[in-house]
Amino acid sequence: MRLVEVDRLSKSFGDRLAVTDVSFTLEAGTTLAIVGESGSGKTTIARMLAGLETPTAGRIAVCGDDRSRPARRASERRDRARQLQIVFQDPYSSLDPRQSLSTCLDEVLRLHHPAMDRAARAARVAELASLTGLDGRQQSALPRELSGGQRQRVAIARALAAEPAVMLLDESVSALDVSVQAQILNLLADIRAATGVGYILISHDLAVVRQLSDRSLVLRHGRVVEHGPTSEVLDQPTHPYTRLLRDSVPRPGRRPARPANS
Amino acid sequence: MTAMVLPGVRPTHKAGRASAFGLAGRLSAAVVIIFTVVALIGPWVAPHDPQAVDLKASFWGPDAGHLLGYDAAGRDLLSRLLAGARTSFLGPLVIVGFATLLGSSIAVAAAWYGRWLDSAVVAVLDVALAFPGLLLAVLTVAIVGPGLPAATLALGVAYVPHMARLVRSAALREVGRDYVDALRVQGLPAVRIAVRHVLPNIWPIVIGQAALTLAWATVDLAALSYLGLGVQPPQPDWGVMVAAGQSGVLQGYPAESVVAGVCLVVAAGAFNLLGQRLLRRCEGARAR
Repeated sequence: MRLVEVDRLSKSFGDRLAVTDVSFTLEAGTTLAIVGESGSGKTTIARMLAGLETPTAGRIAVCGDDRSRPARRASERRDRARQLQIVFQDPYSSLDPRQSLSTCLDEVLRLHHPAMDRAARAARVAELASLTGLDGRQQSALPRELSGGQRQRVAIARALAAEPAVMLLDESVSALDVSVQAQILNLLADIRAATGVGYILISHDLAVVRQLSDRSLVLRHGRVVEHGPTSEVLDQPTHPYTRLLRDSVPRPGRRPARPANS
Repeated sequence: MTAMVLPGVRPTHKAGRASAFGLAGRLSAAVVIIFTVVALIGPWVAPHDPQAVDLKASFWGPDAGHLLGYDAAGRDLLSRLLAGARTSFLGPLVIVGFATLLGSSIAVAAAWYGRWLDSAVVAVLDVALAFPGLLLAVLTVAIVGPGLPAATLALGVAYVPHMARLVRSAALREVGRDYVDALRVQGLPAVRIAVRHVLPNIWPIVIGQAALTLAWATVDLAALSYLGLGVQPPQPDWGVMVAAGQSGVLQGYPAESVVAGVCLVVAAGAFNLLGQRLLRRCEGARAR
């Protein structure tokens, strides 16, 4: 099943082109990585998919529904929420500082499942918390009492509460240290196996991309320069930019290029 | 670490709060509470009828039943002071409540919708801020006619830009945070996000600014009453009393103007200190 279809998507801010003619698709249960340096248009694509920006041209369809234009009615917004959710990069600003995991998830569940009673919601909160590996104390803790990794789990649990078909991970593990990053990546892989959710992974970290994604799309200055299965894109890059990105990853024995005359 | 999860045991938080608030902050909070209580029950605990005239007692000094003495018409000063607290102290509360409600609604709407609405709001606020609030209030009262309702409404409107400007910058910062976007993607209605998420997070700044505005409102409402545009004599009010006491000052009996003036200064000072402390505390919380 085709979860996401993006066709010749473009976005300009004034006369600056942020995204030009980007097309891709996402199949159920798979992960598409969007790779590129800062300013390559990755986040603009994510914001358009989430409905936080309106495309200048092109078409976006998620679960077959067109979302190139802003939602008009509240029910339409809720339907879109159940199609696609987003997890942001910065776990320190992506949670309301006054809400614990329980109150945050309760609010989301009440919105999407008005028929659920209090006990059913509490049960679902506990279920989501255990799915994302948060214990009872962490469920009632405010964000400031949690670590970055724990906050990111709360953000993932919040996104999952809407039971979306697609999860958009906008640099969601970039701000975390390597061991926590590995835990979250494993968690995301488990969730995908359990629920069949499709991921769009936006990252500049090629190690993360290799671990989680099936297909990759390399962006440069808002244009797609390479697109294909992740192993091919990373192992046999055809475009010089992809090669440059790959060769920029630090590894043992690497000699960073030094400026001349120093 | 275990100490942190015990209910009610958060030593670091409490210590930070007390030191930021200080003795002056707590004193002003106490003054505000006492004045509020007096304003609420003043007319009932006043020892005498604040309107009872006894011309024989004109300008008499304090005696056993009249602790502050008498005014020019022989009315009990303490009773008039207690009864006057209602308009002098609660009037500003109404003014600031109105300005806070309207100002923060405008500010949050401007921060939320941004673009042309925000630009328009900022332009209107800048123009409105160029006029002193008291001048606007005097103009309004001159058109509508004097009296407490007109003066209250005019000052309330005059303070809206002050409130809106500060709240807008705080709301702008809050609306830019990722959780607001996350809630929008969840399909939460805009009004709910603004009222249930953005406003509560900027609430300390709103309250701090409201307390500062109360200080100005106390003085300005008294000034309007002093000029004869607000509360009308013979109704007891501190601003009215300062004006009425002027003849006494000339004749060497300054008691009426002085006691009413002292009450005004203490009230305005307490509001001011309290507002400063509240704002300082939420800046400290921001910096964490």
